[in-house]
Amino acid sequence: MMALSPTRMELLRLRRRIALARKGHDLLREKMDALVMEFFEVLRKIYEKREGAFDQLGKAHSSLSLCMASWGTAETEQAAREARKGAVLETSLRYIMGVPVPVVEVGETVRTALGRGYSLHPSPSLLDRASEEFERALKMLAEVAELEEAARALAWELERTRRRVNALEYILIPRLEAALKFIGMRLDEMEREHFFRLKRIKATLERREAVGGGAEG
Amino acid sequence: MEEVLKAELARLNSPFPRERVPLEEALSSERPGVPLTNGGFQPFKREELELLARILPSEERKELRLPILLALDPGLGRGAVKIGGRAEARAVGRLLGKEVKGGELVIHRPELLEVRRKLPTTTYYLFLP
Repeated sequence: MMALSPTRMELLRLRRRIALARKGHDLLREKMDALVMEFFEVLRKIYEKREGAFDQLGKAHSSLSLCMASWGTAETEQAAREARKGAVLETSLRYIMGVPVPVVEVGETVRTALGRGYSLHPSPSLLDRASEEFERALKMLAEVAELEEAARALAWELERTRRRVNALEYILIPRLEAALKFIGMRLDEMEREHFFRLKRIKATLERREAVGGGAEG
Repeated sequence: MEEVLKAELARLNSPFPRERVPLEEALSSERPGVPLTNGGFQPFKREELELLARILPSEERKELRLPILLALDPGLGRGAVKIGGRAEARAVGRLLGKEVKGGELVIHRPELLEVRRKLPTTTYYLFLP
């Protein structure tokens, strides 16, 4: 129980604190609800995109296996070593209710046969096809990464907001209400005591008056 | 706890767009978006701008200012969202297939989800105390 002085000032101060806590609770609950909605929307997109990316990776791996089987593992690995590595990604941030989530913009990942950097003369078209499939998968994986990072950031904020809402709902507001009730009861009691005291004083004065009047008479 | 609560309430609308730009201007911009109060930048996706341009007549494209603010007001009830501004309310109304009377539209959570699904970067949450 917090230290309280049962005064009218304290009562008014407590009422203001309760109003602020309730307003905060309502707003944070709205934020929590909206965050839940955003989080599940991001999760839905992750499932969709991840499925697409895994399908694409499956296609890429089967193209690669086909290339290795027909051209040879060592030759394919040599071409992979010769290939240019890297892709152009632009990253920035956008905000969802103050939560920074990444925006990844991937340029065109599918390159021309010349742009890949390995020697064209001995390589079969199967290698080009496998490269193209992997390049497509790369773009999809970047999109999945963007969404997964967004989900992580939203989940962290959601957890934080939920803790605040629960603290308000189950600790702060009940404590303040209990304090308000205590002060209200204490003030009522003080008023009753005061009233009773006045009645006693009045009765005493009347009695004295009666005794004094009797003595005079 | 109360200090935490006050800080949390101050944080609700932070960062916030420093300005709102007309759709017409965003469409012609090379890097559409708005600056934020924390020095960041809220980019708009071009496909969202094109979607808005498709559903609005040309005179309303100048009037519509982005991002569209989705005002969460606990006074309206849980999950209710207010969209102010004639062109903004009409744009959202058209997206949802709802008729808009006056310069304001109130939507609820399932509709909010649909709006956010279609316009994730061109809408922005605003918490009204």
